[in-house]
Amino acid sequence: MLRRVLVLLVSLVIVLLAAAPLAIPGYGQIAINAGLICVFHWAVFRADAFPAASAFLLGMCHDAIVGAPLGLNAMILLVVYGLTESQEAFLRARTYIGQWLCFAVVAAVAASIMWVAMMAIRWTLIDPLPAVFHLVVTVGAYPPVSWFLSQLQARLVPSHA
Amino acid sequence: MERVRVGINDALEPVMETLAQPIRSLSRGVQGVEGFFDVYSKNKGLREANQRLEQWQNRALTLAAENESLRRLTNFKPAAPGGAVSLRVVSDSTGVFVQSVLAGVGRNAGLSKGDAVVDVSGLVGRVIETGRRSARILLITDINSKIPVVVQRTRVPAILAGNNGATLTLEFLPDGAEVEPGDRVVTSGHGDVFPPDIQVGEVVAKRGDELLVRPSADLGRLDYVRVLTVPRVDLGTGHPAEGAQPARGPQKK
Repeated sequence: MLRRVLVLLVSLVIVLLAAAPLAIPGYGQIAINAGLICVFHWAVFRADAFPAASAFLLGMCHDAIVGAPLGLNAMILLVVYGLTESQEAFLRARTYIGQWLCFAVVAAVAASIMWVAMMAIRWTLIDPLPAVFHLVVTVGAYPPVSWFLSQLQARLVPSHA
Repeated sequence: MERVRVGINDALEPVMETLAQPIRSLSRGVQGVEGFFDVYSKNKGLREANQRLEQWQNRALTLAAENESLRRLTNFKPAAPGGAVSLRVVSDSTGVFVQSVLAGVGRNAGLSKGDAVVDVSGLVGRVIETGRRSARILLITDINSKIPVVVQRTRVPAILAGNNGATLTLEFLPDGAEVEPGDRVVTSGHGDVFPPDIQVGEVVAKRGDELLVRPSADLGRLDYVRVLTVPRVDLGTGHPAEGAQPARGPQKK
């Protein structure tokens, strides 16, 4: 239980850091979706320490922080968690580049769901280009963030065989 | 659902405030280094701006005196003065689909829903959610933002709409309205949405039938902002609007 709380708190801190004001014009357009990277990483490597409820809570906090409709990111992260956790063995057997590519696919699915959902909620067409750019930046940020999560994982919740 | 979101924001606000401190320091350090390299050109620009501002100051003093005498002549009764609260942005949520920021001050400092938010340059947005310790500010660039404005030169009314981009569009202009690039746009005060005559932006381009407006406020570098806690009146009854906090004097947090 303590491990699960610790992993959730660590992921929450990363999400909060990604939302911190950096005073860079246009930063919001390129800010990474840290929650997505966290959920993918934990679902692949330590799903026992990061259950679906943690993904849901992380998504709810993310929605509250960024002002998105409450539950939207929570639902998307649950979908990502479900997709990833169901393919845990397949993903663990891949090389790092393979895992990165799979993350790109999952992130694209998540971005599409978000885009369609926001258009439905706002009842207006939204230019997809900023969402595509945001997706590219998030996929590009996967290596450093997942490396950081791996370091934390080794120290806080070491892998079992 | 709003209470849940506000509750989460109130609970996370101290953590976000703490995490934002080192990032702000780093950001200021980087800006300091950047500023070092263009100090000469900035100095030159500031001298020129100062000269222009001195001319405008003289003009403003003349107009203020003229305004005062006209108010006395017409027995004009101004609206009740409001207060202001200075606060700091703790979370930058300007993203692809939502353009808002979270402030580390809420109802405990007198903020209420609908309060206008400004920075030193112009209108930033309005308060859309208030918790006890936090408040969400919808930026004027958000797609949900629609502001009643007038073009300062011609007093032509319009609606300024956000589109989640860097510029806003002027909509619902009257037919034949004369609006040119360079015209300034200010709040009209219509509908008691915002106090009147707050600088919003400047018309920068005409794209077909669309007029694009660049915001005056530096929305990409929000740090300290001011919330104008102007008492609002229910237009139907003439009594203070429901949920509006009483006006308080200037405060700072």
